Formats: sequence, C-alpha cells, structure tokens
Amino acid sequence: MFRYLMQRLLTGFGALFTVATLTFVLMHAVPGDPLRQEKNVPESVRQNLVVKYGLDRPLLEQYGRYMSGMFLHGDFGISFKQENITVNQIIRDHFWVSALLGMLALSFAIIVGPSLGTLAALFRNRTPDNLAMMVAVAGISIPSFVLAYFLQFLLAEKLKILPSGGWDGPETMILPSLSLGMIVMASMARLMRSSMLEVIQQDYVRTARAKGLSLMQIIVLHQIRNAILPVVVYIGPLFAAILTGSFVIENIFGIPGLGQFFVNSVQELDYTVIMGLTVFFAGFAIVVILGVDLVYGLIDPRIRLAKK
Amino acid sequence: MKTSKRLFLSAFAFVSLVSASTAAFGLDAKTKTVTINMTDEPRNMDPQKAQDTVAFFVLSHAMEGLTRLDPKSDAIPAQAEKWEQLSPTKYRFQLRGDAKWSDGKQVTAQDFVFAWRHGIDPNTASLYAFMLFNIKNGEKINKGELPVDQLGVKALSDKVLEVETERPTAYLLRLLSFGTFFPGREDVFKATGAKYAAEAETLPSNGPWKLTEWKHNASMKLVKSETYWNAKNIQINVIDMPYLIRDSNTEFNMFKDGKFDLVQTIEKELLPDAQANKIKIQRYNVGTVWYLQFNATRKITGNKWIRKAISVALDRKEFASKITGIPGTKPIYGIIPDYMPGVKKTYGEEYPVTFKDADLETAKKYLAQGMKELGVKELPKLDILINDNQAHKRDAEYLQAYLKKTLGLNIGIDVQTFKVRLQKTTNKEYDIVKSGWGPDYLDAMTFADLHTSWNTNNDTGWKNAEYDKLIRQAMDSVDPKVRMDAMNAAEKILVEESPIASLIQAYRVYVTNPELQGVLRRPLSPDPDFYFARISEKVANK
Repeated sequence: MFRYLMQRLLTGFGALFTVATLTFVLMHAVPGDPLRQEKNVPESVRQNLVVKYGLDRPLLEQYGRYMSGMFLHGDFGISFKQENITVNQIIRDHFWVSALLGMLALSFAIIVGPSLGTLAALFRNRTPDNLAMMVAVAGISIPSFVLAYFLQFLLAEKLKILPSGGWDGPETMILPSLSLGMIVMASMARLMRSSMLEVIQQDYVRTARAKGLSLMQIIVLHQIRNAILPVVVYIGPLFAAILTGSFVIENIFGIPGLGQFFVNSVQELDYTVIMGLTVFFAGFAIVVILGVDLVYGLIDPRIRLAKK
Repeated sequence: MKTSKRLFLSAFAFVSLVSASTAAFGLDAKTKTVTINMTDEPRNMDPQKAQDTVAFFVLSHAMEGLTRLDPKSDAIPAQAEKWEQLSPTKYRFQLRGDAKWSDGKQVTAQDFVFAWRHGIDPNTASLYAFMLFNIKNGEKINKGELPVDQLGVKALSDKVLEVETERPTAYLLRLLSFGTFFPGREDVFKATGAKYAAEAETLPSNGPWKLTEWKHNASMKLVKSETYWNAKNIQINVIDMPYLIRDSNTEFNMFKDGKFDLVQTIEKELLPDAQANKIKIQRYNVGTVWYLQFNATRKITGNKWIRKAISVALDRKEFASKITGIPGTKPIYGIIPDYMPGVKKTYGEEYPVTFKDADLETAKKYLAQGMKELGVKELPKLDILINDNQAHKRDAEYLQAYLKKTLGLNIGIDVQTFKVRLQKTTNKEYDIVKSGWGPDYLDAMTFADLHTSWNTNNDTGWKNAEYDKLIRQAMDSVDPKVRMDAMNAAEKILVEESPIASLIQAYRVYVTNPELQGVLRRPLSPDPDFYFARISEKVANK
C-alpha cells in the first residue's frame, strides 16, 4: 500500500512539473506585453517595471526562477496586475469559496444523481424512468451557463424566490450549486442506471433472490454497492468539469471564488497568477483523483486483491 | 412538541432566516447606507499609483486633495482653505487647521511633499506620473535626470505649501483635486513598504469617508469619518459595496431586487428591460471620444487624401444614433469634446467644429486625388484593428460594410486581445485602429496635446510643426481666449490633415434608486460622487 502511494505521488509530481512547464511555454508563446497599459510611460520607468518582474532576464532563467520558487519554496510570486498581492494570498483568500461551491455542486450531484439513476433502473421503461432520463439528457445537453441564466431569470427575476447573485447566506448558494452540479448529476444518473441494470443481470443477484433476501435488501446490499463503482471512478474527471464550469458560474452570480482570476489573468497576461493557479488546480486535481482511486480500492475488494 | 407545531416553527424559522438575510441591504434611511456594486478589484490603491476607475472612485471618497470639484466641476477649497498666486507659476496654499487624518493626526504640508515626490519618483513607476509633469522639474525627475527633491513643491511650515509649476497652468486648481495630487503618510509608508495602501488598515484616509473594510476581490465599505472637517455636511453615512458582480445582467437584477441603489453603467441590451419596468434611465457624458486612428507611417494610410476621404465619407450621426444605440451619444468632428470649459461657456458652445456628414461627393474626389498621388489604380485591403469586444466588433462590421458601399473600399477586421491590440498600436503594426481617449483632467488640453510630436501616447506617426506650435502657445498662456483660440486652430489642422477620423462622444446610461438624490456623474473622478448626495426626505422620515 505504501509503495503504491509513493508511486502515485511520484507520478503525480511528474505530471505537475509537466503542467507547470507547458503553461510557462504557452504563456510566453502568446503575443502581448503584460506590462503594457493604456497609457504609455517614459521608457526609463517601463524599464524599472521590467527589471522588477524579472522580464529582462533570459527565458530559461525566468523559468528556473518560477519553478524553484514554486516547487522549492511554495511561493507563487506577486501578481502583475495587483502589485501588492501575492498569488499565495489570492489562493488563500478565494480557494475556500470555490471549494464550497464545488462541494455543494458535487453533493447535489452525488446525492441526486445515483438516486435518480437507481429509480430509473428499478422502474425501467416506466414513467419514473422516462422522466428521470429526460431530466438527465437535458442536464447533460444544456451548458451550465445557459442553465444558470435560465434559473436566474425564472427563479430570481420572475418568481423572486431566490436572490440573483452574491455569496452570503444559504439562499444565495442554491442557484449556483444547481447550475454547476447539473451536468455531473445528469451524467451520474445515466451511469448509475446502466450500471444498476447490468448488476441485475448478474448471477449473484439471482442467487440472493433464491436464498430468500427481500428486494430491498438486495438493492442496498448488492446492487447499489456494485453499481456505484463506475460512478465513483467517474468522480475524478467530473470534478475537473466542475472546476472549469465554476469560472463561468462564479462570474454570473458574482461569487468571489478563484475562477474569476483564471479568466482575468489570461486576459491581462498576469504571468504569475496564470502559472500559480494552473499549477495549484493541477495539483489539486491530482490529489483528488488519487483520493478517488484509494476510495475505489476501499469499496471494491477485488481491486485490493489484485494489487497484492 | 406536536409534529405539526414543530413543522410550523421550523418553517417560520427558515422563512425569517431567509427574509432577514435578504432585507439587510439597499437604501437604508436609518443608517444612511447606500449599497452599490464593487464592479472590479482596484489594481492599486496608492493614490500616486492609482490608474483604474474603481481605485479613483474609492480614493476620491476616502481621501481629499488641496481642492475638490463642485457640482459645476469648478475647483473649491478642500484640504486647503485658501491660496494665493504669487506669480504665473508660483502658488501658496494655506491648509485648514482642522484638516485631519482619520487617526486624528493633522494633515501637514509635508504630507503633500512626500506624496508628490513619491509619485514622480521613477522607482515608483507610476502610470499617472505625467500629471505631476505640470509641477516644476516633474518630467526631468521622472526620466531620471534630476533628484526627487528638485520637484517644485515645498513645505514652508506645517500648514503652508508652496507649489511651483513648470509653466503657467490655467487649469491647475482643478488638476489638484485629482487623485495623483492627494497627500500621503510617510510614516505609514516607511512602516508598511510594499503594503502601503494595500489594505484598509494601511490606506491613509483624510477624506469624508474612511475605508473600513476591504476583502480583496469581494467587498469594500466606506464609513463616514468623524474627523473630516466638513463632516456635518456629509449626508451619506455608509457607502457599502458588499458584492463584486461582473455580470451586468446579474447586477441589474440585483438593482431591481433593491440590493443595489445605483448601477453605474446599463448595457444597451438591458435598456428595454429597464423601460419595461418603468425605471428612470439617466444619462451623462462619460467624456471619452472615439475615433479611427490612421497609421501615418504606412504607404496608403500615410496619404492625407485617403484619410480625408474616409473621414468625410462617414455618417457620424447615423453611427451615433443607430449603431451605438446609447441615448445621448453625440457625433464629433474634431477631437475636443463639447463639455470642456471654454472661455465663458463650454468649448462646444463657443468653438463648434463641424463639417458635412456623409459627404460622398467630396469623399470620392479626395479618394481619386489620393490614388493619383500614390500612383495606384486600386487600393489594397486595409484592416481595422480592434479589441475582441462585442461593441467594437459591431462597430467595425458597420464601418466595413459602410466604406465598401460608399467608397468601394476593401476593409478587413483584425480582432486581437486587448494587450495585443495595445502592442500592435504602439509598434505601429496596423492600418487603422479604433481608438478612444478619455480626459485626465478637465481642460481641452488633455485632448489637444494628444497629437503633438512629443506626446508618448501619439502612436499615429503623424506630426505637424504648426500643430505643435499652436499647442505650445496654448500651454504657455493662461488667458482663456488665447488658449481656446490656439487649441481650436490646432483642431482645425487636425481636421484638415485627418490623422484620425473622429466618430463620437460617448455617453453612458445608468439608473439610481429615486430616493437617492444628488449623486453626481462626471467624465472624471470622483465618479460617481456622493459628496453632495442625500437620501430623500420622504424615505428618511418614514
């Protein structure tokens, strides 16, 4: 187990290193000068700024500085746009908001998705199945921002039962979480449904029936536990979908999360923020996927045995 | 407890929780609180380095300069209670005895000296240092040719400040109301270094309000300062910015919900919604002039007749009213906008610059002349460089179609991100660029000197000795008539040579809670200005 963990961490670190390098290369390949503003300054003043941010050094040296700062000291540098704020501070101040939003969206998806899928599987080809799958298809096809605007229009503007934006108080968290989690919820519902249907075919279910177990016991003890495996694996990539979806949702509902920085920093060519956030998100994703794999190992004893 | 009772109580609790948290905002007459959108995170709140509208808005409420602007945008005494002009370039300002910082310390002349030196220092690398070029030796110091202590500002005593300008400056008093000229606290600067004005606690405050809360990229709050000399006349106690909403649709929804009392800009697409809800739409001249800028260093656009052909062919009235679609947008034919002060009235009233719109006959003549001079039978494709923004795309597409229809020109559209657009423009890698210029101070000079040969923001490649001479004349005089005449003559050269084809003077529409009155909107900060604002009687007495 320990060896497996170490192996995963090592490959994870390698992936992170690659992401950081690629980001650096892409960032500098994009044309435009991060220090150029609408008003021009005297050349001597501009030179001072260039030196301050180390942009006059050869690219390789800049790369070295970034990487050593990031990986050796955990220091992501100072934002180009907001000179007094460090990227570390930005992450510290805003990560929790995005994390909460993500958690709420994921919770919504994890609770409602598999439940809907189970319902659909149990009442296969009957009304609950058709309704559930209609919702699922809609959820997958509609982009999160379209859903966000629609929910905002319907529930906030017209019916006035929920607020249009902000992030203070539980009622402001409902619409953003729903908009963000819908795609994941829908994917999980469909996946759960097909997984459940597959499990029903299995021999051990028939055996359990023959042994006299009630339908309820079968569903809980066997079906759900087995059917949920593919869904758990899917959480990894779905988490990535929530991450990227959050940028748009945060913008629409005015949520002070990390997503706004991502989009903004690319437009502003804020090198340090771009690098810092990309590496941070990549690292976070790697950790989450590792966690999911470990959980999968816990749920499914076959995996554990295979490792031995 | 019975289940039904328990249910009822929990429902009641939920409802009161929800309603309690939603009723806390909006125009609150008891606490005299105004709630608005934070709109964006300020890049830098050091008054000498501030460069964006949010920073200027907050700073112009949390701090104050020697003078401030009244509702007519004339300069009135602020931190200085009176002044005398000793010579065309020397002024002496007497600071108020009761001018205090929010921590109780007196505002001194040394505070201004420190701040202005900090602003002009090349190591500070301030984007707005050019404002201090009006002060003697400012430009030389910023270029590193002189030490910082040579700046023409001296503290004669704790409350007397002597200012020497580089040349006679007619608009100096209005200029001094602006953020770059605010005082600073050297002790705070020495103690906090890079964190000077980076947090609410380290922002020195001598204005009507104090910044009490600043959660970066999330919220800000200004609370009335009891140490302010004119506190008794400030009617708004709290300016609260509890959210940073970037989506204009969401912002407008929140205004309709009563969460915001003012929306600074209403997008064109939201106007029908506002009208449907019977919300009063207000407008003001935002100050910006938009124009097509030609690259005078390239072969085709370097030819005066080609440029003039395009300029006179344009239908500015149609562009202003139909294409832009913002109520109030005005066409412009020169470069100096109407609202600038003239001699006795506004510049627009006293020195109108205009010529016939959509003069296709003359345009075709100019085009033929230009092509003859260049020795070409057909013109190659010319690109209009723009930002990747909806409004610019729409404008460029209109111009492309219009110029094809009227002059048979082959126009392309070069869409770039903002940073790349800036770079291409500065490096003169464009044919035509859609550009705009906003005023830095309230005098025609801020537009007039844009196309001088010495202005670093002139990236047309065009220069004209006569133009330069007239602008110098206007700079060296304080007589309003001499100055306006000179700048108007220069403007006529601009029209004749057409290094730019001006388009419109931009207006902005906005909405306010009708119970909030006296909020001023201006082309310059403070904008919006809450200094003279108040909550209407009928709400206050409820």
